[in-house]
Amino acid sequence: MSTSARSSLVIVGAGLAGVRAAESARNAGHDGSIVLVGAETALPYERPQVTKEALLAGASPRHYVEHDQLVGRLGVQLRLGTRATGLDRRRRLLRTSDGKIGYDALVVATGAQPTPCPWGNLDGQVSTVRTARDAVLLHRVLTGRRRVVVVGAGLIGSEIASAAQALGAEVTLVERGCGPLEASHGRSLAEHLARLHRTAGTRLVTGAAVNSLVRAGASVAVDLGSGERIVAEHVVWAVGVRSDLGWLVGSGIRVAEGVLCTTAMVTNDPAVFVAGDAAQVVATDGPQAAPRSMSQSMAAAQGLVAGHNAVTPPGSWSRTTATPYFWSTWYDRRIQGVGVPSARSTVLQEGGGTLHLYEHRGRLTGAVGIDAKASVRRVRELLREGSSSGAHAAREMTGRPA
Amino acid sequence: MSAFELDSSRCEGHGVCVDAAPHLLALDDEGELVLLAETFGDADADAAADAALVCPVAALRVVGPGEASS
Ligand SMILES: Cc1cc2nc3c(=O)[nH]c(=O)nc-3n(C[C@H](O)[C@H](O)[C@H](O)COP(=O)(O)OP(=O)(O)OC[C@H]3O[C@@H](n4cnc5c(N)ncnc54)[C@H](O)[C@@H]3O)c2cc1C
Ligand code: SF4
Repeated sequence: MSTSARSSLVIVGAGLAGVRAAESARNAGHDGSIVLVGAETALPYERPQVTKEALLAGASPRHYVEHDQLVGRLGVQLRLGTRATGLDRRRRLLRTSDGKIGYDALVVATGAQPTPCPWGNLDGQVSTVRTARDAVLLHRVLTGRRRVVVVGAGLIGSEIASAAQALGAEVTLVERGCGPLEASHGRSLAEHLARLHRTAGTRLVTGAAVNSLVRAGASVAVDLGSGERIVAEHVVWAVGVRSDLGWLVGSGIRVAEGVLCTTAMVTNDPAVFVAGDAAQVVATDGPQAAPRSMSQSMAAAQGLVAGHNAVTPPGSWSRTTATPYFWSTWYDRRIQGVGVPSARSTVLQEGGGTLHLYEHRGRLTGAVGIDAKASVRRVRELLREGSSSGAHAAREMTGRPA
Repeated sequence: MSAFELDSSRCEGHGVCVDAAPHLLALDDEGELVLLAETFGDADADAAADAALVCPVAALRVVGPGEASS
């Protein structure tokens, strides 16, 4: 396949989506250069371990691909520790903290960053968690502290609470809803997940808003809307993420919460593609776009499509069809979500685990399992086959109604 | 002929790869990934390459003919 028209591929962001885009471009026959620009200095590493093994051990997570593979086998020029600062689309130039880089095709894979704490970091007593460095620092902090408050009981906040517990801290988890994932997955799952925290000994405060964070000597006081004051030695702010795309302002690339793209992962500029947490797919070109799903498997699947399409003519472009999927591990329990949630759910017991099945107008749309690997696998198969009703799925499962 | 190389220390049985190549890969009842064929030919190369790239933990790799496993 000729790729001479797209001889230089530049990928911004050296996370999973960026690495996959590079591999996929090579698989598609791209024999031009590939430059991987990443703000972090580390080789791309397993981000999920930042709040799992790496946080527990205080060590950096493993790399996805070792240096030799990336540079030798894939022929990638690494520009780590380099941040993209602007884009000149007319001259096809990426501006970076370390000079300009010309491109024929560009893939934006800059991920997402934690929403900052509105009261700042109070001299290091409040932190957010995204990177390997954050994990190593937080491990040190948690190991020495007695009382920790984690604000936000989403997947990341819940994992941090679980790790802090395991490291011997006394944990209070503050959540706006009635439990984890209420906004996306509904009350029944949220209540179930809330019980996981409480059973494990984490104090979970629900329906709570943080009014202010203030220094109180060597501690931090967290004031809640209810009037309650929680005093702790450290606070982790984990209320969500947002994509920091300020460097694209003025470039003409359309950005909303993420970089807007079609299911071919192309932006409004046919030379600029996007993948992973930075992407926001809009359904202008297909029957239905998957909801913005910030997960490893979306980053991988979108990186694959973006890398392929960036180096091939539009006639042979592929599109993302991946089923959304995430997992999370708290207190040694495995939570897995496949497909998309919807308003109606059925709860089944399976061995020691539980499965929440979601259906819309009688059709299975997705499920969340807690220690229910086999059922989650079966739901994935049913979604792949594409025709299953919720009731059929429920009968299929080995379990019984809860 | 090419082959899959599975890093079993990384594979967590997510089964995402199975969706991309259900005729080459499967999960067993314990949720362990099973390679249905030791090697595969050109006809399956694209599906296999995609299966390797969609793995969310980078546990699966395709090794080409004659490539030594590392
Ligand atoms: C702590 C944590 C735990 C998680 N656990 C799970 C899990 O268990 N399961 C799951 O499915 N998902 C999990 N996720 C979500 C998943 O890791 C993300 O969806 C995935 O990392 C997205 O990959 P990405 O390549 O798009 O972005 P990222 O991994 O965020 O990589 C983007 C990279 O781009 C760099 N960058 C940003 N801006 C610039 C710039 N201007 N110039 C150059 N480089 C830049 C960033 O520094 C970063 O290194 C977790 C996320 C976090 C933070
Ligand atoms: S290889 Fe990857 S996608 Fe396949 S089962 Fe293992 S972890 Fe899951």
